[in-house]
Amino acid sequence: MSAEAKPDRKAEAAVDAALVRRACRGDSRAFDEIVRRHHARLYGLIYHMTSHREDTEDILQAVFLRAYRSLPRFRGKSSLSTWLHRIAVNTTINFIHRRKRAAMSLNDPDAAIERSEEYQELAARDSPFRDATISELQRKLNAALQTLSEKHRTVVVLHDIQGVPHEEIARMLKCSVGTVRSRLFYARRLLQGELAEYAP
Amino acid sequence: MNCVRLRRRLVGETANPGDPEVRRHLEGCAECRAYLARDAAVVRLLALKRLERPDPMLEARVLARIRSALSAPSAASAYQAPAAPAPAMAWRYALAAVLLLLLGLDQTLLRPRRGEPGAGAPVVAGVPERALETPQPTSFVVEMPLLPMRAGAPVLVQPGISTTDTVHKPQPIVIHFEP
Repeated sequence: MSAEAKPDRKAEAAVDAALVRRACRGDSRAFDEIVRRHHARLYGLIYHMTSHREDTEDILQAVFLRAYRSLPRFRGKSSLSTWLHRIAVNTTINFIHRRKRAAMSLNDPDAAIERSEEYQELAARDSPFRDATISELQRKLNAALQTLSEKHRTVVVLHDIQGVPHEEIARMLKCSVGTVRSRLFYARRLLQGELAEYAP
Repeated sequence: MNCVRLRRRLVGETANPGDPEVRRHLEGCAECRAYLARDAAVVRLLALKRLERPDPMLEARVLARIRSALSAPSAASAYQAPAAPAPAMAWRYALAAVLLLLLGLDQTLLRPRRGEPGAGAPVVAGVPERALETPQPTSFVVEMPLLPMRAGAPVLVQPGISTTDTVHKPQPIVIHFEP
């Protein structure tokens, strides 16, 4: 982590702490602000875990409602973001277990990505991506992620997609950093097999 | 360093690819080089997922759903863990449990055994024996500890047993439910 990033995170944490205090006093606008600040990252986590947009919105709502009720018990030992991610991971895993769908329905890929500059750059640079359409890649990726256990998928989503460092993931999942690294190693090895045509 | 250990360390980012020991291993091990190339491709593929963005109306939708759920107490409470009983209620439950136990013991210890005088006839503490000799209406006899009852509840309590009696000298209250 860069030296510049640290004060930013501290400032973010201070803003979050103030919002929590206000929300605990019944200020609904403060809780709205918490939702605004954190919904996008939580949406990403839940969506990549479920690959289903409608389920994601249902779970996201449940996460914020659970957080709202638990706010008075939030002691600030971890950052609000870590705490919310922990609630989101637990809620999502519970949801997946409850649903136990034989074939988890996956959403259609997001066509807008193909037009994004980042994808164009990636496709131009990497030959395996150049030969595949974005929808095909997204479908394969979602299906490959669904083959992982929830514990392995959580670590891959947090680390490789959301860019969360190992130590932070360990705090979110309440496990050791070694466990996080180990899960990541096994998950990536499984994904190599699932995505063999794009990762020869 | 063996292959699995090296791969674990590189994937887990505990080893630096520039480390001389790691470099030496990779120079001499085509399998590890291929493994790490595949791993890098997987990481690049996963990075594509970062490009998926929630739709712009998500924030408004989520806020609306949360506000609506919070304003409907029954819907909102579905997400709440079941609350522990309040301390006052817990004491009442405990007292009721103790009374039930005492009444149960009372019944067990005072009930005449087979062959003893009075055996064979139903014995209910606190009820005169002659009352039991007369034919009883078809009814269910339920023995209960003293608990607050709803006013107007359709129960008949045996006369002669007061609230004080029940508390100080544990006795069952016999209630007849007319079918």
